[in-house]
Amino acid sequence: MKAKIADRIATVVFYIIALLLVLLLAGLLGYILLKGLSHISWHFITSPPESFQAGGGIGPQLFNSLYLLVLTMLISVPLSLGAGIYMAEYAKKNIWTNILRTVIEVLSSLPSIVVGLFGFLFFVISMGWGFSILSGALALTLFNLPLMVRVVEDSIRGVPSSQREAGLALGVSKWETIKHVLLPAALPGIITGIILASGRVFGEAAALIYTAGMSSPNLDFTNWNPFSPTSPLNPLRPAETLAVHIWKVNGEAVIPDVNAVSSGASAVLVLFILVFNVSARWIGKRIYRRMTSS
Amino acid sequence: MATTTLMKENKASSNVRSGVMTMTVPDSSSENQLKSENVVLKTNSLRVFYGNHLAIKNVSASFMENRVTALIGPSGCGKSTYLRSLNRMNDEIPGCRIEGEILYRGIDLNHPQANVFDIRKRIGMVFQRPNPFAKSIFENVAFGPKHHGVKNKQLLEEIVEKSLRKAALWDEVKDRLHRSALALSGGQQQRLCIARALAMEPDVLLLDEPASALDPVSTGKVEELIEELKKDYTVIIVTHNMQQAARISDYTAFFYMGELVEFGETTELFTNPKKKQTEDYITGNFG
Amino acid sequence: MSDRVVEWTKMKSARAKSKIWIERRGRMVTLLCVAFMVFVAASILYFVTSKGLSTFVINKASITDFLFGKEWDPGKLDKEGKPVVGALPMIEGSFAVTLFSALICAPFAIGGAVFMTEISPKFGKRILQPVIELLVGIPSVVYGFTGLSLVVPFLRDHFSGSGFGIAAATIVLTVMILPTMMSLSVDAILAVPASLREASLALGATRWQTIYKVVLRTARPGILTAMIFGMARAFGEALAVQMVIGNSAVIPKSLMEPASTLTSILTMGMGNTVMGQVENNALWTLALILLLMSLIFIMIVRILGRRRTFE
Repeated sequence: MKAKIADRIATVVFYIIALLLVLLLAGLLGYILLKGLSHISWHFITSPPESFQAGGGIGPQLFNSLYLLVLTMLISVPLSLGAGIYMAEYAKKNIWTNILRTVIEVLSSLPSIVVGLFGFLFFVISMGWGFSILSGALALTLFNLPLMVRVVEDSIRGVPSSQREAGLALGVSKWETIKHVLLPAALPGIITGIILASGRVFGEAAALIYTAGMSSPNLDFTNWNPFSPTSPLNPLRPAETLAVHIWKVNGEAVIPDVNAVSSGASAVLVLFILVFNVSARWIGKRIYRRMTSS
Repeated sequence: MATTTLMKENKASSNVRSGVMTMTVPDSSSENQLKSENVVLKTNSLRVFYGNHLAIKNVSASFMENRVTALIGPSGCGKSTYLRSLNRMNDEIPGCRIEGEILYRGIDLNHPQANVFDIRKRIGMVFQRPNPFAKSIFENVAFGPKHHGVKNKQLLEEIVEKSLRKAALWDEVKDRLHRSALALSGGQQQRLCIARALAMEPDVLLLDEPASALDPVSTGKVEELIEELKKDYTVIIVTHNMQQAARISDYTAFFYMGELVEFGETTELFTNPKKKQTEDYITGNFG
Repeated sequence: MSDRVVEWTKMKSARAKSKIWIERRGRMVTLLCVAFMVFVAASILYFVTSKGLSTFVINKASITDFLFGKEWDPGKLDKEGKPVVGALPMIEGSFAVTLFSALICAPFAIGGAVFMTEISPKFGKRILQPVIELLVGIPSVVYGFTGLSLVVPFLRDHFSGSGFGIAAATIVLTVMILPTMMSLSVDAILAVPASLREASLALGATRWQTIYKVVLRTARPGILTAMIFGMARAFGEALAVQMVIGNSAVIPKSLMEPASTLTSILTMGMGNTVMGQVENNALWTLALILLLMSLIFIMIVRILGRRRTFE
């Protein structure tokens, strides 16, 4: 009898916990979006921030976030493809592979502030690139690599081994089998992983404060020459991102509308991440469906 | 004139591990054709180790050209392992070691300098579960030739059509060559896998229980196909279905616990088995 | 048959040789990518360690003072001429927020995980799974800002003090590590074989008894791992904590007083110090402690994982 009562109470408790969790997310998202959406306007998204006055926007910061995202992915995706393929297909079960896995695990568990500080030490100071897009992109790559490698490795491992056999039995080399059979089959998982990782990279700030910097020069959006100092594409310029901007304005608390700016910027950030999350699932499913039917 | 030249380690070349085989095959009109039964593939005292475990124990067998040889035996007797050694697919299993000779038209495939890619071009394989690539039907069949240098689109189309016809699948798929192979039924997928192997124009076809995952109708189609295929290819088929072996094969090899117990013409083996184990298996005294 | 083979043969043999090359090259390229990652990890370890140790080697600070001293003023020299680098407030702060948030979060994380796996898998998969994924995706600055604009005023209004402090940081961190802990707990619980559940139910146990006595007990190593991962995440979190903890390098007398963690002081200080000087070196030592702690967390997880195979 007691057991039955306990069972019922427990069930109620679990339902309450689940409800609380859903409310937590709903509340959090609701708060961020409701508070922030009212501050988002075309002006907000395109104009540069103000140093002392109200009315500043997040235009350059948004561009910087996107630019850094693209650069980071351009560098980390090929690297992680290579490393992930190696881990999934070529690494043998010996002590070296164990050491390798430990190294990747260490890399992935480093706090992002430590990665940022290493970037500061190495890219900004030792290499002399200063606060720049280059330093930031490389720091973000370090931050992103372990996750991407795991995504690639898991996706490739998920392809049934019968596919490998089929390729090899046709006299095709293992590498060609990987490139033309396994990778295409693993594509949905890899692309989903890339998009989800993009969300993480887009929102990352700690690794960028001391690598991409906390300022953004006046950008001339008509100048697309990457070598010119006012061009948005110039990789050696400092590039405060959206996430870093939120942190900075709250830390300095100089501008009078710090709350408005932060809310608006947070809402924009979260919206992008929502888009990343949703599209990751959707695109992954669509690619999978295209591959297995039609 | 049967000239088989095996270019192995050429001291002049620095390709250490490029045991490339180039061969010309004896014409059927040549006077070297003494027997009507030509041995295409032969193993001498083949031993296969998984780590320290000896899975295939000194198996010596000969496979005749343009004949179907069935490998039968209870589960776990090693017939699939043996089959996979013939095209060096066991190389892919870590810890697997093969000793002994595998002679393909006189050339030892188990030689350290044998080019395993070359081997698999001449000895094709179809697996138990259909494993088409997640690509279109056309891409599946064209995969082998494409990755062996055939770039001409028209040639590829010819090869695809020829192979699909030989696999008795052309009529069913000719209007949807560019649809995904995964949309086909199980039986069709398996015939697609056969077409894919045939596109490589192999000499020998290894079939590892090709019909065991299929329904009876598809099985029948595959069996008919094998009857046709033996005109052009040498077929070695592993099957756990004795009736199937009796129906379609010319020769049968009975495996038990990693050993080749008996080998002979199918009708002989099934009506007059020489060993007691064979008789027990055939009459169903053990599984 | 023969002419066909001869035709193909000529084309194939050249290709066969090149296949060996293709194979070798592909293997080499992927190995290089992997080697690069190893190189990168090694450089990070080297750089941070050498910079972090320079406080002791170059500036002659003492390690015991660093770990146990309560006063943090690296520019000052004490009576023995050593820099005043007592990091105990930060170390305590980091451990405090980590432990508190893990303790508060655990029941919710495990409870949510149990709900997702045992009580209502359908609802769990369709609703709670996306909830976890969305919570994980929210950037830490947004958590920090929400903490700043929601939690801190709330604490200020309902309790004494400014609202900044360990309490605020704990609340923010609890929400931040919840998704991680929950999804790893889900994995741990899912790994319990169904046969164990069935056996328990067949013996007449209720669902709660099965969960409590069989499932959770079997999944314990995995759940502990989940908690350690959550703690590692909390320990290494910089910005969200820094925004709400007050950043005062002293040991607070209550949870509502400004405090600091390793990460918060590090984040604040790095921009205000000059490379090469002792203030800067001291910060690198803080970074070194963070690095070592993440290695320790990995080791703990490894040890727990090994135990799992015996249970």
